[in-house]
Amino acid sequence: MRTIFYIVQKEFIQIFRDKALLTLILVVPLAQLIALIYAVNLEVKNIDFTVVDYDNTQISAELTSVFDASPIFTLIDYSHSIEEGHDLLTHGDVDMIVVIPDGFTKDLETGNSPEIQLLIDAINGTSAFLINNYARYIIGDFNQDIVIRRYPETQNSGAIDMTYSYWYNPNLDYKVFMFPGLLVILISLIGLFLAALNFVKEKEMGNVAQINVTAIKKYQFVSGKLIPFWIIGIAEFCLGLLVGKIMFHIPMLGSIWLLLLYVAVYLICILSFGLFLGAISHSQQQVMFFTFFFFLTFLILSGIFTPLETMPAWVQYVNYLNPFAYLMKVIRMILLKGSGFTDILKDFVLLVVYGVMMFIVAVKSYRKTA
Amino acid sequence: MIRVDDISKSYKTVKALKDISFSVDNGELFGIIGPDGGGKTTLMRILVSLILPDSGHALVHGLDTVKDYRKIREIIGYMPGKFSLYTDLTVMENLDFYAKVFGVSIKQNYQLIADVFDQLMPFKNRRAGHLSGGMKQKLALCCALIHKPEILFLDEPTTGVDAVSRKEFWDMIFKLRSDGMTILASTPYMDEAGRCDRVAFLQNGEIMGINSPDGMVDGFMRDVYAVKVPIHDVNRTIKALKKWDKTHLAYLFGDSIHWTPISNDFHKDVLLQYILSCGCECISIDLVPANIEDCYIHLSFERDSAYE
Repeated sequence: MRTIFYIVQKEFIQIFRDKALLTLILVVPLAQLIALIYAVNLEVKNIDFTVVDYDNTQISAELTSVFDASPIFTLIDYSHSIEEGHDLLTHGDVDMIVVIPDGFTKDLETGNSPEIQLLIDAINGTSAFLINNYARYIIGDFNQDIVIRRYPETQNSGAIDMTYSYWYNPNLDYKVFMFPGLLVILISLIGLFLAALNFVKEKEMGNVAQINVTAIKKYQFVSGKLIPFWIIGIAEFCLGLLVGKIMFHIPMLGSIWLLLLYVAVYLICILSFGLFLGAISHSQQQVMFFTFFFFLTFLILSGIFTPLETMPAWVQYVNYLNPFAYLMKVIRMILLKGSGFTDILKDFVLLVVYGVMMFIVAVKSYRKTA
Repeated sequence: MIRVDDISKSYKTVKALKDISFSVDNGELFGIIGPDGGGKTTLMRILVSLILPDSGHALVHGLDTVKDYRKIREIIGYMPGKFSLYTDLTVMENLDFYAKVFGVSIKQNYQLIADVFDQLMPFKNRRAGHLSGGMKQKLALCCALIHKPEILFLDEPTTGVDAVSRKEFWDMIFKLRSDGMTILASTPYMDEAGRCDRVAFLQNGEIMGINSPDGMVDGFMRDVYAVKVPIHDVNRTIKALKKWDKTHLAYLFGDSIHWTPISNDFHKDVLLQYILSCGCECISIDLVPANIEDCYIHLSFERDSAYE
């Protein structure tokens, strides 16, 4: 135990001595957190559109102005033909074309179903999907308005009225969804990269040769390397939470202590992973490549941008081995849903097992003999 | 005491050590002398349990370097050839760290390192990476000694160290030996061999001879002539001597040429006549006592010619 303490002490002296590294550890991730949360915003706003109005009636003009009046859509220009609209779409001047066909009003009055065509730039599938939904919502509203105006007696005719309520993120604020994800990236970065690089640096400098002939045991050395970054990781996480609370008013419904406990286990797992990569690499280039590979793979599969449920089944199996996924899921559950211990029990147990295993692997793969 | 029995070690195609056997007595200062790439570091690393031999085994204080590596690491001090302390820690922090991980305090064993460490004192708050080469080695020695090992392994401790520091370093090693510590030191410098109780010549992974420095010299049976010629004639003279049928060996030694005849039944005037007959000038020819480097060069030559 004392030996581990001495190694930890030594590591801290080294970390605090390296002013550049210290800044990198403390300031950069937080700055990133604050800046990136605005950058990775999937909210759909300011959709420019054009209208091709072949109908040219008061109703079609009304429909156009309803679109334009919504905070999401901005009318850029009227087009005289679909081709003209296409040009605008190809040049990227508009994201959507609304085509109101000739006879739209007539169809409406005679009781035939009138049709409207929406042409949406779908390079980004997610935003196209959202634009489509918004547009349909507006058209539906408009439709109902017309019906009520023309046939007031149908107002309460028992039509089913659907209302929506978004739970856990009522305003569909993207920041609320992204913040926990970014926080996961932040502490995982520290966990994987710092631990792995630190280990390999000692190898490159030859320090390990000297350490290896001492009576220090493998688990002591690995623990001594793990603990300092574990402490830094937890501190960093708390700072991140504080920033989220103060700057972004991220809801924190569940128990923070439960979250911290979970993060503590998570960090042991991810740091052991980093140290394992450090143990099997011989140079900083090698370890950078290894960690980068795993970091990206883990991150993309973790469900930071896309819900896990929409990913193929194999990904969900692979995610049993993806530490990022464990935290990505649970941090959102605890912060946004207020999940309690029993809700996360399964993930917690799996993460503990994973963490212990990874630590053993890290210790075993560190060879004191060459 | 150290016992090495038939140790072999290969790296891919290179045979670094070929069936090495020797032993070192308790309290002995044993030198391993040989050129770079001769196998010195490999041998050291096997003895300190950092690498495993392909065959054979070694005992350090009766402990097997493979099976009992844990216990060995507790009783040895090892100073690698490459500086391996933390360059971003200060002198004091390095020493403190190594003392602590061995569970001792600096105070406890200070008398062991006092002589050297006093010289480091003015720099005690300087980072190890900013020390001069000699100071680095002194610090490394202190760190290897701080837990009071029973056996000390020094891998080329004076390589890259200036002449004054080298002398100080060996004074220190000598003092440790007189305190009863067993020391195994390797060096590429012949002049350091004379300081050891016994030396082993290690070349191409083989031991060419083991003896005390005096024993080596006493056992050397050939007469050695030191030939001084003007500098511009040195190369020409050596070439000419090598061709001569009375020559055993001719080689550059400091600022003169050392020459040994095939038979000791020889008069130096014959040598002078030959040199002059080759059109070279000659300043002086003296019969000199052989030293350890002469022994080494001859052993090395005889080994090579035995192969051919």
